[in-house]
Amino acid sequence: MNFSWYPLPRQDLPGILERRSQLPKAGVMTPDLSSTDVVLGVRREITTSDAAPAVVLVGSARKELFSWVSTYAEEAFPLSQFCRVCSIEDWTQLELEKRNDLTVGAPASIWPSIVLGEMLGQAKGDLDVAAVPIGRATACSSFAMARAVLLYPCNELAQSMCVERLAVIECDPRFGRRPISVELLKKIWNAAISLQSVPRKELNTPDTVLKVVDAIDKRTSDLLMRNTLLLSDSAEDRVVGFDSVADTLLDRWGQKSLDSHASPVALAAAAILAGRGTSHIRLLGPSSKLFPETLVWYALLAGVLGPEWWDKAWMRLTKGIERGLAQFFRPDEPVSADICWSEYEWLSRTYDSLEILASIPRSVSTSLAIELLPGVNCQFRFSGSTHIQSRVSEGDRLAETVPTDDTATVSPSNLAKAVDLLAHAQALLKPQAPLRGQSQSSLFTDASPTNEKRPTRRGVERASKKPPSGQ
Amino acid sequence: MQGSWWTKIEQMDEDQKRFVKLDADGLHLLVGPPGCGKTNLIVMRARFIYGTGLKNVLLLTFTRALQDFIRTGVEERKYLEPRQVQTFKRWALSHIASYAPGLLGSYDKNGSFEQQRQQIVEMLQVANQQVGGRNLFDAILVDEVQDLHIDEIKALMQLSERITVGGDVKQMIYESGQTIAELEKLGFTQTKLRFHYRIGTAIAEVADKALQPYDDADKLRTNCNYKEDELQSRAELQEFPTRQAQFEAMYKTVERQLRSYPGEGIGILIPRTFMIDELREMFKKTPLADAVAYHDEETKDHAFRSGKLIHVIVFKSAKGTEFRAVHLFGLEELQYPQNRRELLFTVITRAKTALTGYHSGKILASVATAFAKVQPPPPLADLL
Repeated sequence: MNFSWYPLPRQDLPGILERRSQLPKAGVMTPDLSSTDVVLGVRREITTSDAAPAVVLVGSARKELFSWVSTYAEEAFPLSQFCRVCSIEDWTQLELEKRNDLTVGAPASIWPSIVLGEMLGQAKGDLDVAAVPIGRATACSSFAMARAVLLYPCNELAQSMCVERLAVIECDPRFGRRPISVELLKKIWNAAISLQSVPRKELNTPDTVLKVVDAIDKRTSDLLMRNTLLLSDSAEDRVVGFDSVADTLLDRWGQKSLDSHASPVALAAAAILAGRGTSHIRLLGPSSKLFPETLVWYALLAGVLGPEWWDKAWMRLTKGIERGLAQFFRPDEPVSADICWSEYEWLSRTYDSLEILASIPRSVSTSLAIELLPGVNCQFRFSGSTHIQSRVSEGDRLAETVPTDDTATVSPSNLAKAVDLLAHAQALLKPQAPLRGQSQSSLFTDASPTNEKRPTRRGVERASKKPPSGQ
Repeated sequence: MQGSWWTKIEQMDEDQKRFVKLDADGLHLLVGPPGCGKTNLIVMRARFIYGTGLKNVLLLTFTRALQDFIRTGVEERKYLEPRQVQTFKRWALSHIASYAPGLLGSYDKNGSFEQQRQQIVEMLQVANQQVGGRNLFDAILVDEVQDLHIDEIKALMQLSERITVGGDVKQMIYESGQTIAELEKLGFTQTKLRFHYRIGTAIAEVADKALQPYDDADKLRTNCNYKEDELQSRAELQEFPTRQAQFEAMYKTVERQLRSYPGEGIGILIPRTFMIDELREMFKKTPLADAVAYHDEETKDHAFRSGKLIHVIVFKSAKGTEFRAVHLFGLEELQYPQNRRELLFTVITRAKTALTGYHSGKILASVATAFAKVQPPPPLADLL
């Protein structure tokens, strides 16, 4: 894809993006951010004086750029409203300028299936596949990961960047916690990446299920192999076999004699074998409350086996997801997410408040769609609480130098009273001790008249102690 | 309050644009007439610096009213913590309490205003020696710098390498010396704003008569970019037999202005502190009793954050604030030692569109002169 590049000072950017001013006359062939804040990319074949910019490349001065635009040209932030915003490192590492293949091939059945499994697992609800709204797919981390794998198939760095960014967002308290963490999903994605290159014909047998489990945990695969009921032609026997496997696994897990990741894989495999496909997902109802990732493992195994093993509802949903995954992508097209990664990264590091993220113009009021990599979006639901825990390091640093909120509410008259009290106390103490002492500063901080009594550390720990989840 | 904060570059003139191009680093001085956007630009600069990752920003004001006014702006937008906006005095006492607490025992809060300031500066210098280094703050910004002593600025310079101050020597409420003139010698780079946008021409003329500049080019009227065709301004002085009569006339006007300028603030500025209680009693008997915020030290509803639209503020605390309509109530109480023309200039220039002065009896000549209407010479035919 050919671009003309226009190096610009940050002050010129809002006017050009809002089409109030024109691009400089001459562009350059290679983006260079060594002497400028930002480089605008315009597709070379449509370069005219009023051509719409397609890409904003940002370099090391991105903090200054975003801070400047969001302060002095508020309506122009996020820049993603106008075009794609990308760091120069991403642009280079993802080789976006060199790419000619702008379409995505048909995704292997494994990825749409995994996305469906995550939709079921993250929802924590009834396992009625037919009732799952397909719109939730883009809110699944697996959807983003699948897009990263499909759009950047030969670029392992792109895939690891996607995982890393999903993990960063997972730690942002402004977004709701998801039952299945990126760490748990990563194991499933790695398995999917390994398996997607194996020809489908070789995988399309029940043995594949046992081989996958064997590769993950030998002990649990032995448990499945020994359970002959699971391979019976009688559906009732297979369900009995499933129950037996589930009882054994949950018992071992309760005695802590089993790795936590082994049970979900084995349970998923047992359910697939019991149903000889995706028809018996409800068997996983109770165990998926304990291990929601079981449903994603189940979906991985279903994806490995392929559509011949899927029931109607599974087939219908995965086809819908497949269409979303195969969406056309061009680096010079407008961003469909609310905000690009560089902007989110800056916002999340700079501000702690939910309001800042919530004030970004977006398509859905309760969530924010972030473009993790060019063409790879994921939607994140805001957490219900507006109370955002401030980042400890910044808070500590400020606390050293600026009075806390509590002291900030002390009126001058109270401050004067405190000074009086201090003087009085010092006069009383004078014969016994020198004036200097920590107790004086505490009059202005800990023992300020407006300060409420603070709970002790132990009290806080007690209050925050919760019963272990799921027990 | 509506219309008090703007954040768009296309709304800025060339002087303002030159200022917003500055990087976070360095020592900067922003000077300009009232209504030129100094406070806004300083708050925006604080936000810009914070956004570059230099989060340990401190924004200081001289008066509490301005501190509250700025806090309303930053609270709405959540870009700075309210605790990062403080008055100089309050911050200084907290700083001393943190780094040299033993000194506070000798602090004489009953001393005169200037004695207290001197004590605080001396304590600050000791406290700063305990800090060890010039990076306690990533940046310090000061509005109303004309009211700070140069030693107070020097104390701040010991705590940060990035300092931005804004001020206007004509709005100097306290006799604090030639701080602004000294700043360039300390290495501050000056940006001068020439134009103002907030103050209507009728009010600008009154302000120019209250404190006439040496050069006509520096007159507020000359550099006025206020849009009269959108909201015509007016300024007048009214005399009444009693203070109660002043109040009744003012009340009618305020009531009308609340309907004429929906959502906009109305300032009632008074020369003396005791008049706050007087007005509180007068308003108590009216339907607007709950709509008034009294900016005294004891009540909690003083702040602009109260959301109330009518604000009663003493002259000396009014700097930095701005209102669509201003009422200078009880001007007969403006007497020595409050006869500095800078104080009168400052309170006049709090008004954007409507300014009304009220008095019963004798007033300072400077007040009468400021409001005096210049009569055009009579036609020659009348003289013959």
